[in-house]
Amino acid sequence: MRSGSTLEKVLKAGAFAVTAELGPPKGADAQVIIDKANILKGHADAVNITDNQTAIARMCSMAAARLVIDQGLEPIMQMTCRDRNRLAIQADILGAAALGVKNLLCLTGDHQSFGNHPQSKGVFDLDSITLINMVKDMRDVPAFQCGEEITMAPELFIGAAANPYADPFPFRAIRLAKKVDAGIDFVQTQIIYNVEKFEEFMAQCRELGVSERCHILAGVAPLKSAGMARYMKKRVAGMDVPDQVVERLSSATDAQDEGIDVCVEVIERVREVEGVAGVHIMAVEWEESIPEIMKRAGLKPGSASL
Amino acid sequence: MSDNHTLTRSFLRPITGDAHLRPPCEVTCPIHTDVQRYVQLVAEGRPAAALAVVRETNPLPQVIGRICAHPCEEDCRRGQVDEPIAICNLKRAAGDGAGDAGAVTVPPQPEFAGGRQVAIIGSGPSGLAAAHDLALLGVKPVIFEQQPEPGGFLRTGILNFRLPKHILDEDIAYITGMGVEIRTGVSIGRDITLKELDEQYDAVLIAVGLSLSRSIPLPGADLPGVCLAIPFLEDVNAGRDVDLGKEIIVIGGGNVAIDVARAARRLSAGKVTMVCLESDQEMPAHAWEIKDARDEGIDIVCGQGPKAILGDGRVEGLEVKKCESVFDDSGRFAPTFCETELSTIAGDTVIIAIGQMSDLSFVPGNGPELDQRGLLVFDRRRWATTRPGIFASGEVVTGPGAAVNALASGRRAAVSIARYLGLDIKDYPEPEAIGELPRRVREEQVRQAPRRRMPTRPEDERVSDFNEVETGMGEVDARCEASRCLLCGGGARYSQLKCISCLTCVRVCPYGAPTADKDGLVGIDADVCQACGICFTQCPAKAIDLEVVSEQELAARIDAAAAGGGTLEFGCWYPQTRVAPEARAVMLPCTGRLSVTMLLRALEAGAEKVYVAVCSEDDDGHFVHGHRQTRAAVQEARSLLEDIDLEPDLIELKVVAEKKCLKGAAG
Amino acid sequence: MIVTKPKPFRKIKQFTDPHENILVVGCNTCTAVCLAGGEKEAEQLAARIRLHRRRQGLGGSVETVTVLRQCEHEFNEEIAEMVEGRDLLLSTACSIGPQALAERYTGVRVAPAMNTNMLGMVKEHHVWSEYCVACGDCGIYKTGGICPIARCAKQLFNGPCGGSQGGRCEISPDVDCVWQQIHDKMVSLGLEDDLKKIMGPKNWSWSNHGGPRTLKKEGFQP
Repeated sequence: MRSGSTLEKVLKAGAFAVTAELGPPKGADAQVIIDKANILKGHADAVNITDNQTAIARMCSMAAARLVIDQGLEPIMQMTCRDRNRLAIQADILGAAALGVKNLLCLTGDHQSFGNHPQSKGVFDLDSITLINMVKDMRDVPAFQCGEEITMAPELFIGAAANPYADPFPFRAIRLAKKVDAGIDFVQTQIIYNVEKFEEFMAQCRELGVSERCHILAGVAPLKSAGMARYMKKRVAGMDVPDQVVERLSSATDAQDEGIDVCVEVIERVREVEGVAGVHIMAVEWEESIPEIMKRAGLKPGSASL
Repeated sequence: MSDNHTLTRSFLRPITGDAHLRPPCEVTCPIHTDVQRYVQLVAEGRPAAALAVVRETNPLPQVIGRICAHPCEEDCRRGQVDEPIAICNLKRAAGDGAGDAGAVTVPPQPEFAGGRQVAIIGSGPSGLAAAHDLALLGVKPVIFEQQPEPGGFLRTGILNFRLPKHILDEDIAYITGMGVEIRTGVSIGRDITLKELDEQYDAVLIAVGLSLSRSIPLPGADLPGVCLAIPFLEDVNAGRDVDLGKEIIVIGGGNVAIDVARAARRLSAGKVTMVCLESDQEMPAHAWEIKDARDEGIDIVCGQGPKAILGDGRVEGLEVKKCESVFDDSGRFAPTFCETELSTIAGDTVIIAIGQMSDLSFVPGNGPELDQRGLLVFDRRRWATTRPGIFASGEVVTGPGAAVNALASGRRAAVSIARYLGLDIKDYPEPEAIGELPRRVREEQVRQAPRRRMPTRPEDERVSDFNEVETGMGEVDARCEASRCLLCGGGARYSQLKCISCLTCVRVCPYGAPTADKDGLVGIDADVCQACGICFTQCPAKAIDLEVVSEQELAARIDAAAAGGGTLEFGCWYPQTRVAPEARAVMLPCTGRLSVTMLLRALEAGAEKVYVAVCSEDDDGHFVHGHRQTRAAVQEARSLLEDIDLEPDLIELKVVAEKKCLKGAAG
Repeated sequence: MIVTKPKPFRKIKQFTDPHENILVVGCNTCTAVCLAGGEKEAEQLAARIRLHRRRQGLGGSVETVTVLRQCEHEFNEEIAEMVEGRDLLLSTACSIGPQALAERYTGVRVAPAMNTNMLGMVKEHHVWSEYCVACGDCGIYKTGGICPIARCAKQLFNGPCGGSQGGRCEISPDVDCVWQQIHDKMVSLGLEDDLKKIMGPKNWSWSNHGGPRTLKKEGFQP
């Protein structure tokens, strides 16, 4: 065990892991976190605490992670390179570990121009891969990036993201392999609607040995409306929403219900793909849908079977 | 018909005139010899190459190296600092050195394919020069000389102690070696007429010089013991016995008079006195000739005009009257005398040396036109007489002048004749001289260096024979002297096209020669530039090259010296400054003009070890900051070698112990 | 002006050693003006590479050519014949140069011989200082004509930090405190009151932080 986190235990035991997402509020109200945590509790092995997601300033992921722990739920703290240099990142990692965080998801981060402070400087001192490597060394050597010794290592289960739908497609699996080489233990993918392409991606990952060396959680998300489907298809870079999905939502009488169905179908299909160790359900600002998705998919958190 | 003027660039060079400014020595020189270049080659210890450069414009290099009036030295910019370069002596040094080095000069062998022939009357400097150049142009010259041996006044009028006959013979042999035919002992008018020449040849050049002495109608001029300069000199030169008394009076103050007096000094154990109208300062003879004469014990009485030769049956003296002025207000020769202030100079011989005139008795009445004074009417631009096909050059048309002027006129006449014969030769622009040294540079920046003196035999020894007085500068002295050259106009050549207006030259030049205006237009003031080469080494765009030892030439020298390995020295061209005597050397005016690339090139070209001579740090050397640039370049090159895992000591600085050239006489 | 500095040779040889026919391409604009990569330096670098290769027993050829501005395709076009048959183009331009070569000569590998250091100004012969970071929003009207973004180590907007000591920056005694200079300048101009106003956060979106920039100028299009 590297971190002793529930997620690590579930994945190492070979159980099908379920993770979800919890976005901190644009305010200082802890109750928002507490409420969301209680919705998700019992339905996920761990929940991602996003870090200024899409470059919008929010409550910090470290504080939110601690609030989640207090509710008896395991956080996967997200850490981006956009807002902090290596000093800040290392400081935050040590602080998070001290507060009980055991899973860290290492991301480059969305560009600041997407968010609500487009005039800000982007730091990008590190990128996701150099960040992963730094965290791995902090845990395993243990040492800071500069080489100086760390007196007590942060015990972390290190994750990253992967997007099968970005270009150039032949490089996507290779890039994930680099993240594995850099030190990740698990990966969560971009939201999957085009399962065929995901299968192709997974075949490449298997060929590169990626699925043997890290746990791959397939990303899924319920669509709330046809508008949302169209927006994600057109506006969000690296999203692949097939036309038939948009069509299903726009012709459905209850779009939300149809969205959950689509999500469940994706879950059912990706579960069958060799090398998929779990799902990561991204119900952004729709945490309440998760219990229903789990129910319809016949899923239980992996931890429930441990 | 192909006009055979596949001439060497060198032949055409003198009159081609480069677009840029030339050193004043070259501009002043009537034949525009590339003085700077041959002086530079002497400095580098390459006399044979220097001689070849002299030959590019001068068909009589060894002769002129001894007797030239060297107007070049008058405008030498070194003279604005201390004393001019001894240019004439260095020309001789080139010939002497080349001879010592056993350099055999094979004259070019032009083809006389066109069948054109030119008759040249007179084998003096003008006739010889014209013949030389016509031959190079593929026109066959035939020289007619009435004396038994060629050379004209050079042979009959100039004495052995100034110009040994074998030197004249060597220079003439070079010209005849080119296929120039000289028929001696042929008197025009007697043996063959001008008309016949005109008919038999495609053109005729009259270059008969001034072969007759002028006389003055003095009472007593018919006394025994009175003679004229030219017959006297002819007799002496021909080795005929000359009856001289014990007290010789020479009338005249010109160079010929000096020669006469000096010859008399050698022929007679007695006293030799020169009498001339002019004051000491006005004497037409060159100052150095006057000095030589005085050194030899010749008395010069100035400001006196001859009134009568005294004597009864034999010369007993010369009565002279005080000359009050020689020239009128407009500078014309119009002496005035005080007829009452008389004195007598005792003497038993009087030689009249007051000037020469031409002998044009061979010109027929219907021939080329003569003016009222009996001189040829001629077109100064074309060197042509009034008769088509008959040309004239030299003193016969220019009047008395230096031998080098006669060469110049002969060369120009050759061009005119060639054109007359249908050859296409362009008009050559005259070179333009750079300006004076700016005061700051002259007074504060150019390092003074003493002029080397031409060694002469001791006076008491030399007056006892007719052997050459000047013994020639030794190699070291010649190189010291040559390295004083300021390389005027030999510095930065700048390409506006390549210039990126980076201002590097403006910032690094120790003399402030480059300037830039607000539009980035850079100019390098040739008057200011001292040719140190620092801008050349620093210019990042390679917009600057050097006129003297250009990058291309430097590269070629490096490649030649480095080929086959061994040690290479980048040396200072001051003699006795070698830091690695066993090495093959690339000699430069200063090693400060070496760029890092050139240092590396030596290794690339095969050198196994490179030494770079440099002045000591407290010694500014020939150029301001030169040694700093040398040090910086070597340091940079060494660190670059380390970068490529080569031993930095492959390139090593060596400090020159002492630059004797900058001190007194060379050791 | 863009100021560049040659890479250490140990880097350059890593680029050149695997190649056979190398063309060192100089640039006679900024990189020449800053005495780093003009025709002279390009030739010198080529000489070094040749000496190095000879020592290492590497064959091939190393030649050099210099264009006026490597950041213009028209100039790079002129060297097409020289590029023919090469397997490496080593550029002594700022990093724009090798990128331009790579765009034009798609079949040949390119390598930079330079590190592009800054937008700077020559202070004295062989000394350059940084004056601009190309932030895209020049504000020096308010700071006495002196840029605190390029010349303050912390890119401060509102006056010197606590590390300003005797006109020097805390990061190094060799670095001037630009805010000391701005302060002195504004005082000398009688504008010290301007410095009392709070300067708000800068809009970095016009700089490279807003992503790679493309500039389009209105006007005649051929």
